[in-house]
Amino acid sequence: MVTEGPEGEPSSRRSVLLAAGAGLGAALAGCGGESIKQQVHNSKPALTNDVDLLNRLLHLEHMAIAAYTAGIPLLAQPTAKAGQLFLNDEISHAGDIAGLVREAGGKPIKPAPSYALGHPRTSDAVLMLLHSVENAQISGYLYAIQRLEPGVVKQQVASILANDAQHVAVVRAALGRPAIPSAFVTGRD
Amino acid sequence: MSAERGSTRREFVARGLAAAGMAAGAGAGLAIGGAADLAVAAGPASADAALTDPLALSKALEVERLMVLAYRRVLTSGTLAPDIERAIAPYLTHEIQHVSAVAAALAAMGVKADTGPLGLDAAGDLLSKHNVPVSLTNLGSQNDSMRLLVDLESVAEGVYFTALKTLSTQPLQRLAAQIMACEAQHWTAVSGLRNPGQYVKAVPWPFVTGSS
Repeated sequence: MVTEGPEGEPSSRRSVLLAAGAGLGAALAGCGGESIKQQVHNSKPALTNDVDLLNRLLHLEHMAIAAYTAGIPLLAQPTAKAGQLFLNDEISHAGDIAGLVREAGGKPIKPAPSYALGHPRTSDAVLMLLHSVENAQISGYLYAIQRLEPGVVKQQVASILANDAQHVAVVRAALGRPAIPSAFVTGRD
Repeated sequence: MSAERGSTRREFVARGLAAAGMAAGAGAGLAIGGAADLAVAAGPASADAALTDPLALSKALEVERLMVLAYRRVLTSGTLAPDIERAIAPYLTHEIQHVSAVAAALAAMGVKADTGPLGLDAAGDLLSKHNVPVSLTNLGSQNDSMRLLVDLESVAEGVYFTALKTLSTQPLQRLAAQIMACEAQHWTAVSGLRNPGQYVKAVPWPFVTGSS
């Protein structure tokens, strides 16, 4: 568990890491204090607007920042160096998405006080956590690319998605798995 | 690859988000899936899209056919250490899959798509067009080969990045993003093999846009 700033919506975040494994629909549904099953049941067929969608992407970025911040001290070298690099990337992504939220007329959500990231104790356990978090982001960005307008926003989101895909390739390699298991990145590998 | 920053994006976002309400329902009901969705990819498309989608995908297909040729040339060049050859061999398979997927998308639009090997002359012209300085016919060292692949992966990233600005249907947008991300992974893997242990050279920037 990691703590961040005092603002945010803790109740809407606790289940998201689990949701990442259950699929993007649940992750993006993200409603306060509900089980994943309830979140899926209650999720709307379409998001109300782009601000909502962008803020859900920002939420995933905040969670990734929390995961890297908490996990890096447990990573073995030289993987920890990659972790620090990727943390910086995630901070850049969060800043970029927050900018998009503002440009869309919305208010960027703040990081939650804490995230339920489990209790990884080893370098490999942290890598598994990071693998899940990166995949959740990839799924989120793939979902968003098809819905956000205009094309330049799709491009912006794709530029982040591709970077997260690079992260997950490195994480997979560090876990001893094939770095690039598929010709089409899905966030489910 | 390069980072995209600044006012250009902001200007477009401000304009585009005003139209987001109209666009939000355009693709409703389309399945979210992978390349297999392309067989049913016919979505609502404007007259412009009827021109721009095939054009964008034709450019992507041309680059993918170049990628296939380049990987084949590199893998048979004798320049690679065995472990590196083993590591990158699967990427040729990925590129062949990309050719098939993009060609299928074009075929679904009624556009005839050539999936055969790109000729060396055409490949040379394409390399020049994209300012790739390494020759396909003169791969004298492992460094030449790896440099060629890194440069071409950047070109491939760029062709999908450009396409995403105009592609008109959700399945095509998803396909382009999925392939672009895979090319970015290839870029990272090949660059990582060139620079072992130097993660900053394998993932140098937080935003991937490719080269034009």
